[in-house]
Amino acid sequence: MLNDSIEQNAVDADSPAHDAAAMARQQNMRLGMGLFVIYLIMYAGFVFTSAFFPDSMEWRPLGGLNLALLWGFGLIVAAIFLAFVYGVFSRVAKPEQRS
Amino acid sequence: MIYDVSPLAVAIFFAFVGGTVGLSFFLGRKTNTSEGYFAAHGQIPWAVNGIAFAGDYLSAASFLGICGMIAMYGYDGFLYSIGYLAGWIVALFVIAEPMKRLGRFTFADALDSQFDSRGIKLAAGISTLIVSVFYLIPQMVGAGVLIQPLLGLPHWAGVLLVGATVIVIVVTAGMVSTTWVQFLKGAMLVIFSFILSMMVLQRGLEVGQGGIDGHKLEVIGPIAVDEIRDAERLDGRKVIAGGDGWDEDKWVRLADVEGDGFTVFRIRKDGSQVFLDQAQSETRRPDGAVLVDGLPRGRGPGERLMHPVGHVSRLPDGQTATGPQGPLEFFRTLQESEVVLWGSERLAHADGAVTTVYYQKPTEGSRILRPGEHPTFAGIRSGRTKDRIEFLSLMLALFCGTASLPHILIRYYTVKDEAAARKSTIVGITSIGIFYVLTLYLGLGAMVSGSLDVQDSNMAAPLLARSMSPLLFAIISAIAFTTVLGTVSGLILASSGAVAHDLITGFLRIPLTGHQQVRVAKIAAVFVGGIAILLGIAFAGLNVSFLVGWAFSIAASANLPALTMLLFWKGTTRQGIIASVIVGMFSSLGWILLSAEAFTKVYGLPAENAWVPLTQPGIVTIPLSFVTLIVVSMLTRTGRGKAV
Repeated sequence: MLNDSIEQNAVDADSPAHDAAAMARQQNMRLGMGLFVIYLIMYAGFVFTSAFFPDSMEWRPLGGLNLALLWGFGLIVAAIFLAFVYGVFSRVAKPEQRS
Repeated sequence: MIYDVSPLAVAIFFAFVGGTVGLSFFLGRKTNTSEGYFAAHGQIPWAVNGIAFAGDYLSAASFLGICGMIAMYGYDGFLYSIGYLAGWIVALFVIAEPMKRLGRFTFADALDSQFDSRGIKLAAGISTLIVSVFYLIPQMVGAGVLIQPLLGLPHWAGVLLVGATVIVIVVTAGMVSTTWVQFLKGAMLVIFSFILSMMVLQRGLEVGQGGIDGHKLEVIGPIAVDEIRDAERLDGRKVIAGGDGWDEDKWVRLADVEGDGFTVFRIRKDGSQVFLDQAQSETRRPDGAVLVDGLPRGRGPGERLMHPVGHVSRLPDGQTATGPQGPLEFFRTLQESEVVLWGSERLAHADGAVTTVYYQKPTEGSRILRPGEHPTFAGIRSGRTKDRIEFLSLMLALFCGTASLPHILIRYYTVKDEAAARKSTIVGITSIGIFYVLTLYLGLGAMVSGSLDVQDSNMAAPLLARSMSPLLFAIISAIAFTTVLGTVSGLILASSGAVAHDLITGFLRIPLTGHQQVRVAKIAAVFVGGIAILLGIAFAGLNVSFLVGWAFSIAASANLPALTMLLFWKGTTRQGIIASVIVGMFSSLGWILLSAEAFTKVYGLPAENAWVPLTQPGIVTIPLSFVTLIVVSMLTRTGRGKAV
């Protein structure tokens, strides 16, 4: 997924360290993109609903709070939660070498 | 409004500023190399860097602008909070680690990591300068706004004070002192916003009739419609004749029993009857005199001041006060209540004077807690597709802009490796996210605090603090001021790096040692700081959040397409990157300068004369920049890797 030549610039392409670091980066990138897509869907949904169905934001589906508050707070909480998920499950790309 | 200058506030303010500058001198002793000056030797602990992200990012626009917008219009200000935080997701998942791995001092380093191209360095360096200057203007204007109530100094003095302090911070120790200033400011901002939010919940909601100065806003009526039209006296006072800008169907002015003053009322029709709701007016005469409801503005005898405002007019179940509220209960109660918001209307008079009338707008809580009350966002309820696209365009720019701001990007070079870059972004997202949740409590708390200045929404958060305690006002004002210092330091550092590292060493290929590069960067910092001071004075009075929106649009259009395509598409060429940055930068800049908002707010021309259909360029210029990169890269495939 990641541009290969970018990888080669960071570490010696033939070294075992490169393989391990590149693999860790690829995995992190896949995880990051997956989480990014989840968030993007939530954000785009919020923005499009606000733009094209603004009245639906007054609907109160849960706890007496309207959709605008629930979705808005949900986006902030989701950002923090997904950031932690990424922090816990991402791998460390070591050793760090610069060409 | 005229504010009292509090000696306590002045003392705390100077303690903050003095402490900040002292810290800079202390940390600056060891910073002579370019690694130290631009990137703090990559030795900043990730947790500190994460909070410094918050200090860097939570600018005057975030703290003062968003709280003020929520206080005046409700939920709409929170849309900015949501958009600004969403941008960090792009930063964490897409940009953070490659940025750290590929670059050294500036954003141009990462873009140019594959190519060693002078063209890329030139384009990225100019883009950094343009975005930073656009972002600097509102920060400096914000400093001027803050200094007036805090120290009683004029706008220009505030701008000069911020500019001079920041130049000292940046010149003495570069990234090391900037980071610690931002760390302290970020931490204090979140902690004291939390304390203030808790106090808002503890105070709860209470039905009132006016602001904290004790003035009860008058309501006269019901009066028959026929009766009001020809009335010479109402409520025992003489009716001042309408005309000369005063529309008789909207306004009634009742003369004071003594003196030249009057009370202005807005006519509210209710079937065959009318009610008169008290409004407030300020008249600016061509000779510079300012009148409040007909009397000179001031505290002395025969003078008058605007009343502070913001009250709940109805609580659910006929309650008069709720007592302490839980965090969710606060919203539930507000949804069922009615709050008096304030609108304004400008009246032009024959002698060249202009009156602004501020009038009450009793608004259902359910409307306050939904999007679409602020003029910027009201379009989503207009049914017009153009207005909806405008909204989408702004939310897109906020989403894409954060990860493209040069002063945010350079913070990835202050930590030791990719893992630290990732962790510090997570700390940043958490602290910024918590702060943005608090903005809703601060804004809504200010809305019902009775302390709002109808003429200046930017002061909502400090005035809310003042309604709680003078000490808190002093601390919040000093934090707001260091908010400006922290962000401006980051911007000036990013600009000086662009000049010294990208343009002089990179583009002009003038060989400089580390020491020389630092010296050039310091000279550039003084120069950029000077420009920022001049622009901050020149743009006084221009809406702060409006300018920040511009900076986000330019950053998102110029920088993000090139960065992401470099990371994800093998076919990217140096010509593609250069073309993408230049097209994104100039198309968004040009679009903004030709938009209706620039025509009305900057040039003072009618909005109809604008050349472009939308005010927000992002929805056109971000895709345009992507397409440019792809097309130019495909046309120049063989040129990859060669220097320009």
